[in-house]
Amino acid sequence: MKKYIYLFTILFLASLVQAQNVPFDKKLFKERKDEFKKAKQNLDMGDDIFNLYPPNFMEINEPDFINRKISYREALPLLFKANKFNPNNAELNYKIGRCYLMNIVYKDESIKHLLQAQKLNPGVAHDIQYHLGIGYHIAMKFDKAIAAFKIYKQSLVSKNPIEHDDIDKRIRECETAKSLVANPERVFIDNFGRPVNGKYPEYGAIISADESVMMFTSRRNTSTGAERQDPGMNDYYEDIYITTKEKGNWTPPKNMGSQINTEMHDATTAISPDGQRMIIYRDTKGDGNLYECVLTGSTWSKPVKMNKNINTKHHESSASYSSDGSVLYFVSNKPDGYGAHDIYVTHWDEENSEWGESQNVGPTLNTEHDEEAVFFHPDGKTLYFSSRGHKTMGNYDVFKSTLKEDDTWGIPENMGYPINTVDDDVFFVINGSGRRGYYSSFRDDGQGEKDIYQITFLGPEKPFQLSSEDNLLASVTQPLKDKVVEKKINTSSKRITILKGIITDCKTSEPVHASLELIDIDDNKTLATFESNATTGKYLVSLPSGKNYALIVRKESYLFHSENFNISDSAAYEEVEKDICLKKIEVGSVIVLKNIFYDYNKASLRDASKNELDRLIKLLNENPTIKIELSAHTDSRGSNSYNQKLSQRRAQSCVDYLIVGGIATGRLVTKGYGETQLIRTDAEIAKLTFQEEKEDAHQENRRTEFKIIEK
Amino acid sequence: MISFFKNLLNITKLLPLNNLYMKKIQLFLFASFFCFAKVSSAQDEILTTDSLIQSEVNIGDSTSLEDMKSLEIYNLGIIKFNEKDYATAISYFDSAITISPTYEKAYFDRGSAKYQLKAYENAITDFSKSIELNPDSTEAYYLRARSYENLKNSEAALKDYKSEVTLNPTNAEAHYYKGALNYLNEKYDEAIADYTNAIKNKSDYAYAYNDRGSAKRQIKDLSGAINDYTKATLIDKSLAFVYNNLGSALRNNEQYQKAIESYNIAIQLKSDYYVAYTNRGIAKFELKDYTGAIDDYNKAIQLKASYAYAFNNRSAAKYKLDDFKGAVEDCNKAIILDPNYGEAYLNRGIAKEMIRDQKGACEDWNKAASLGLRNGKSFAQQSCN
Repeated sequence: MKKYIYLFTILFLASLVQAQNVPFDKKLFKERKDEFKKAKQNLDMGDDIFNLYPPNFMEINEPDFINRKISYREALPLLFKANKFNPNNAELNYKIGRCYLMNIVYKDESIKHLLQAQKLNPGVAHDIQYHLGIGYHIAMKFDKAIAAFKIYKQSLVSKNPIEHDDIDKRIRECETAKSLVANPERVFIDNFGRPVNGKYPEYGAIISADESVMMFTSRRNTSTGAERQDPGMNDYYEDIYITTKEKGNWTPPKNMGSQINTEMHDATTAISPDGQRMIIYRDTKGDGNLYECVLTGSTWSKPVKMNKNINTKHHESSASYSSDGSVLYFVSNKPDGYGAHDIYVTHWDEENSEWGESQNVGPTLNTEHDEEAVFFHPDGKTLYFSSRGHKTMGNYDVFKSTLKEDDTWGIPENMGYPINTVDDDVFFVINGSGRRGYYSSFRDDGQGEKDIYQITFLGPEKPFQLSSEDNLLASVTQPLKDKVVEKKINTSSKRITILKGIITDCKTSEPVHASLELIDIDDNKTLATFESNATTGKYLVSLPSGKNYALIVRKESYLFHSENFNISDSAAYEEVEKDICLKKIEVGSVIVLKNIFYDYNKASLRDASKNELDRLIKLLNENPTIKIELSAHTDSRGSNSYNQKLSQRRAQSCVDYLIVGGIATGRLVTKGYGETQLIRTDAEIAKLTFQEEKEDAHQENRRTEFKIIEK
Repeated sequence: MISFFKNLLNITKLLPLNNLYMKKIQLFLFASFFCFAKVSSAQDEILTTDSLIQSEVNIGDSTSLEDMKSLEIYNLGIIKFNEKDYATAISYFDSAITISPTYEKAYFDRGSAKYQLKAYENAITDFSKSIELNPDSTEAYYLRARSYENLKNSEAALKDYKSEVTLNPTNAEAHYYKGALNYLNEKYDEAIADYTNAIKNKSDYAYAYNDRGSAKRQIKDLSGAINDYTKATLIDKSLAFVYNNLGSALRNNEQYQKAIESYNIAIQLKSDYYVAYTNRGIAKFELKDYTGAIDDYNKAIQLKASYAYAFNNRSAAKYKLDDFKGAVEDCNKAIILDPNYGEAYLNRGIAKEMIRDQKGACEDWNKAASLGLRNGKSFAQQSCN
């Protein structure tokens, strides 16, 4: 027994020796004078940098907070060297722990130094539990973090509510993190890889709705103005780069050139869904402003500073267009908001051709903390943004909010783990389908520095379809298959259809720079006008679900082209590739009038058709010499004679409208073709699997056309 | 003697019919019952005819003599029938009919002999003649219906069962078989009414309870189904398939633990019951016991290596255990076994997505959609753009 007591005493004494705080006193290092000298030098230099800014966040303003971050990073290698010489100094370990917390990587290394400091001298710093809490939070040891924060809160002498609120917020963040990590989102996160990512920082990816164009910010040694920077400096000026997807592969990124990139910081902010307009961020006088550029053909215009309704002497940092280009969301820290950076909205003033007065989007989205990196999805309903407020799991998290029927915003939802982490998660954008998102992060599998990552959202787990059978009937030997109803899942896809393609001349196949008008048929209201790209003829239109759209494509000396898209509220995401060729106004040209609608089984025109017929009247008035045949066609269902008569009467209804509209009878020939000219044959329709596909095919057959028969 | 056959027949009815051997025994006993009834009745007639010969028949009355001859020959046919020498029996019945072309019973019994020899079409001709001669011949309707069923002519069979139950509403078997035909025609409400009539006339009719349970399942009356299956097990505790069906109804009712208990009994009663193993696997899967489910599917595959369902279902359990490659391989096997197995394509797509083969996944979902699975279309729409 005695033996054990001795052993225990020895171990206890040994632990005391090990835990003893060793000051940087040269008397203690008589035999290591030279090493001591070097270590002390490092310590003093490190201390000087460490002490540049007040240690407590309460006593420091935002810019200095950022500077302190930088200074801590600089102090770390010096203090680290000193610690290598004397690892048992409580204060030094405490400082190293704090420096690690401000480092870009290896933040969780802070824990072992802070624990060591505490062990060497439990009274080393009154806030050691606070910093330990932060370390545990970063290391995703949430229970330990919560415990540390609670201990610190109990020991807090200060009654300052800001300090108490800060602790409470951190505890809440840990609790949120715990629940998010326990229920991770089904995503793949992949490094975007080369050629986009390289050894320099890449971030701020922005994409067109169909992901055919991506722009991003990078600080490369080839940046505009890089030659003016000090050699050896890691962070070169920000420049904007562009890459496009060709045959499924991303082309090597190109610097956008001197038109866009200046010798200062130029960063991506927003691209319109069709990739024809862009907003960039520039900081020339330290106030941060937003600039807009337009793509004409293959050339980007010089960035133009956006108007005073957007830019102020305060900091405007990010923006995002609505799908039709009529609304702009942006972020500013101008006063009278809800605190720090807030999200604002402005509408395009058609009359004055400029952005109107901005409004704060309100306290549902904006908090007393920072909101940043806003992104409005082309579905016209979902706003993504990063925030330090709301229910974050730490620092900035990405949130989404949905615009409700009454035009108010829903409570922002955290996008979940692992999209969000305990660190900053900003610059998040998502494609039209909602299937892929992009953001930047500093991770182990990176190419160096910050890299752009692609997030693939898998949506809710897809249910497997199990098969079973039973001996259901005693009189039947063979088991009978049990009828299983397929489980329905909520598809995570966006309620939006993206329509894109190329507009060409039908005969020459040359691209046409045409105008596109998007009309809400039910309200007979123009929702937006677009233009196809002057060089490529490419166009892209986002059609949020829940409306019946007419899309009219026009170009002088061509017949207008008409399309109809009736997209139900519940329609899932679809990307429709529709190349449109325009026909010259000449004899033989035929156009299907897709926005003419009749009452069911009747010849009477629905009101929604009148807009289309008015366009035809306008065309006939503009081209007074042309004569047309106006014909109607039915689908193959019903008797031939009935269909023949119905189509004849329908064609007549259209012609009657044209005559009332002032077109001379002699210019119009009426023709009912019944079911004699089907676009989709019955045999073809019979091969289709689903009823709705069959209905669509029949719908294609039911049509009204006009043909120029004389010019 | 008749009651002996009836009892024997009832006993066999309580045995599992999916066992082909048992079914044959039952069918034989069933037919034998009718034939024995005929023999008894014919023997009675022999006595009566003998007395007629002695007392009432005049010499020179050729009709009566022919009747007597044909009756004797007919009786010989019955004896041969009982000896299971159906071919000889048929030739006696042929002779009896040649002598007496309107001999209804001879037609009926010749039809029965042909039925035994599985010459259903010829049997139908004889039963039809029997019905023509005696439109109230319920037995002829019944056996003609059975013959039609064997020839897969369910429409004609159903018509005969209808005639049979109209003429003889207490024929529980006719109600029962009529129910089965209605069931197979997806007329579940009518089937339920038929089974109810069968049960009314035969309260311990375990098969009818089982089948009514199955019909109730189809109209989503799961608690009704569970009650019926349970009743069938109370009547006869040896019917493995009823325990399996009860398990599946419980499983569909999300009573997974009870379902497993029922499958356990089915497997105890019939150790090679691969269907029950597979079904138990599904119940375990629903309880998130994925390794247990895999064990059951493995067993089912051991018992029937070509059982595509077990491979398909095993893929789901492997997926849940993050064995995505294993899941793909299982679906591959299911698809080899059944190239039009839409569910297996759908599932393979889900597993391929997780091994980052998006192109393959989308091809599979589109294939599943072309085979009629809506989720195939929906997944492709959601994840293939």
